Amino acid sequence: MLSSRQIIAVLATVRHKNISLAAAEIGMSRSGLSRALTQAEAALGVKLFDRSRVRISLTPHGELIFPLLNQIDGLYERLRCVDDLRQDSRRG
Amino acid sequence: MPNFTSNQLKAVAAADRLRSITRAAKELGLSQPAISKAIQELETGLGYPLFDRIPGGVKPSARGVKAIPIIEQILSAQHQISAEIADACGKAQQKICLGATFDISTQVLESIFQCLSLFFAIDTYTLRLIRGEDISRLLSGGELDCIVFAACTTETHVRSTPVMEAYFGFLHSPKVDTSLFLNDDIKRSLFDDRSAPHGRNLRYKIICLSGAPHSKNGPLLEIEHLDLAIKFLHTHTAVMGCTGLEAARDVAKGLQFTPVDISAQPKLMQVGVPRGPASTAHCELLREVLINGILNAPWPSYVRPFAAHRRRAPDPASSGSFHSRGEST
Repeated sequence: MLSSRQIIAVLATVRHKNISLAAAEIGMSRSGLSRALTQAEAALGVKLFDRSRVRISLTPHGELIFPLLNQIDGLYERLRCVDDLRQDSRRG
Repeated sequence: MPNFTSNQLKAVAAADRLRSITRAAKELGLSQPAISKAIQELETGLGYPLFDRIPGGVKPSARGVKAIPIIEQILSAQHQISAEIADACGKAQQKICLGATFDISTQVLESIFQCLSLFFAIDTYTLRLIRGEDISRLLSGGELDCIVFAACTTETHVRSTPVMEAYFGFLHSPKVDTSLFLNDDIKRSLFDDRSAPHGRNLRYKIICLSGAPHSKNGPLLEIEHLDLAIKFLHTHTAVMGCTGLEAARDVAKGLQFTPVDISAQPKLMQVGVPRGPASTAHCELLREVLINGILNAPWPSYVRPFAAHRRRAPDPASSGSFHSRGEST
């Protein structure tokens, strides 16, 4: 199973198709993001990305699970909303 | 950016289900401090407590009530990812672990295995004999791919397998005496308003329901209860087979279960009773029911058992290798 950090790293990489841009967006170092992607691939036992000098793209396995990764990301967002509701109620 | 791990999510889900850190630790095979630490880390990352500590255990906090179902959805999606990849790689179906209660005969299991091998790329199976009280741990641990059990046969049987009936929703039936379900903890954990949360851990989500609903004092669970069970199975899991003779025939016709007055029927034959081997005719009928069920079941998107793995009909002379590694007591 993937950690939330690994999922965020994968999704950012898909959005930017570029390790540096993805790392900048989510506030990780370039090496940290690369390490997260490698750990995610190791955890699942398959390659998620085709890496080239210019672009990085999803493999068929990556394409397969991409909707589920998006779904999980949305669920984590909802978890954070629960927290926001708590803060709002305190302010109110 | 907090990092949430699957171990943290599992710890929360188990603690919620069992209402106890100690029992969650036991179920997950970890120490109590490890579970406490995992939950605390998740709570710190989220910024709010998920549990209130109460005498004898824990209960979800006000925010936990909202957050824990989301956590369970995340775990479910993670399981789907694993299943998608395993299916795509074609490597997960080499061996299947069938869970069966002790009153299912190996002859029936053999028939079930041969049926499954028509649709899944499985070569062997391992049998795990289970008691009702074990099912929670086995399912939550992801140790089973498929569960086979006999439901609603005799009163004694119902008493011996409370979890099975709870799992499949018989508690909803007003005609069932719920005092039969002896273990309140299991009842609560398996059958709360989230509808059998353990089922997600079954890889194939195939459940074989063996039904011969009678007891020495007359019908215990009537055909309409099996009808409820079928609807429940189709909504929340996937496939069932019913080996009560008339019931199985109805199911085989297209999974349309026609309620009948079983008091007017000849005594329904049982499959897999411990007192004798199942008949070949019943095994054939079970196979027919299962094949029909698999073909017509509303499989979730991440389970694709068909074209890629479909095989020729098995040679009746051949069978899956049998390895019993479970205990029935």
